[in-house]
Amino acid sequence: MATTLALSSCMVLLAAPARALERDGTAASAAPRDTKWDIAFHGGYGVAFTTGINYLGMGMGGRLGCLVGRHLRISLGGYVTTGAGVSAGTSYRSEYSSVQGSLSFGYEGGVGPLRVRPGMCGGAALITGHTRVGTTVIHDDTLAPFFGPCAEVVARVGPFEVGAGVEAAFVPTWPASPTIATHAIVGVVF
Amino acid sequence: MPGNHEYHTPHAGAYYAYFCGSSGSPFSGWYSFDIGRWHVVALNSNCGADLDVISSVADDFGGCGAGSPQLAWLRADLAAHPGTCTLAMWHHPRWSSSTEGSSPSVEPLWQELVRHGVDVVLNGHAHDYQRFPPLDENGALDAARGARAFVVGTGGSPLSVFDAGVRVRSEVRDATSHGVLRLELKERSYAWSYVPIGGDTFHDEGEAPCHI
Repeated sequence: MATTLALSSCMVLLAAPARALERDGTAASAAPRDTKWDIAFHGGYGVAFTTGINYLGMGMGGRLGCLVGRHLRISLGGYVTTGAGVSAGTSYRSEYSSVQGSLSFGYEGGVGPLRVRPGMCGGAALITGHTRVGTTVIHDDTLAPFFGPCAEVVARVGPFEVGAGVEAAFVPTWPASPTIATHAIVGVVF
Repeated sequence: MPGNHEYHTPHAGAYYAYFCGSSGSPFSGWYSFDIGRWHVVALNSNCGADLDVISSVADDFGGCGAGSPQLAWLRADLAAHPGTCTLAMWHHPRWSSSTEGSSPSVEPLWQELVRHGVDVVLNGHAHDYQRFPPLDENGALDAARGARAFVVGTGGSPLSVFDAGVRVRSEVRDATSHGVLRLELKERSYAWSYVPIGGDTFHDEGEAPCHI
């Protein structure tokens, strides 16, 4: 519901400059069009503070963001992590990784040349595990929800954005454990 | 036998890899062997609500309940070794006065063992020492056919504290010393002696006959 409303608001805002043209009946002035959408590539590293294996590690993904009004930011993203593995000789190997989807709500404001985006993120991680002892293998998939604060800082260079972000989350069902991840951001605004 | 900390690595894979061969088939954790006239059974008790491990751990081996592969194996194993003194060991104690609490999830295993006349049960998990008198399937006193349980979680981790409500029929309990339990398995009886580390003073000893 909230996502649908936000997307609708973004589309209305994008359409506003076009309607101004119609009312005036004149060619648009050279005023720059507001940039409301952005899409970015994220790449970084994360740690899950669990007694088991760190299923985060190196990761990469993408995020689609939208500015609603002056300061409300909503974004939707997907992320794949390589996780980690442990082994002992040739008789034992266990490795875990994850695929994640998340939604974030937050504030976006300008600080000099930078855009600052603090917010709250929530989503779910599909954690995939593969454990082998001798010739016996156990494969498991666990869907683990998570939530927590997140923040990004980006510098806008023309239509491009470069920056960095950090996310801290709590996973209540893994067994319960905190995670923290950082990532670089390279994106485009439109 | 695996405890909850072994499952801190996924599926206790490192435990099974290290003890390959002597801990049953991988990911199961039960096995048995004979020492003289004694039959020793090792079981996997990671089958209940333990906040320290993922709840799906029991899926690896089918748990401890009625119809589980472990219970079926135990029943057949005990039937194949009649007339012997029997000792069973697993991690989570059925009865405990410690803050870690009792483990109702292992009740099917406890009841099957008592029905077959097990003499001694050894457990850990609680970081303290506890001794119970011979108890029947339901935890009531049974000097003739009950199983005597020991909780010996005094191997080095910080010691626990006991509940305000001590378990009914608890005979001896101590959370002041680290040490080991020395068991002497005799022809038709057993003797126990708790040996504290240097500097600690708690001691417990005794002897009792087998049910055979």
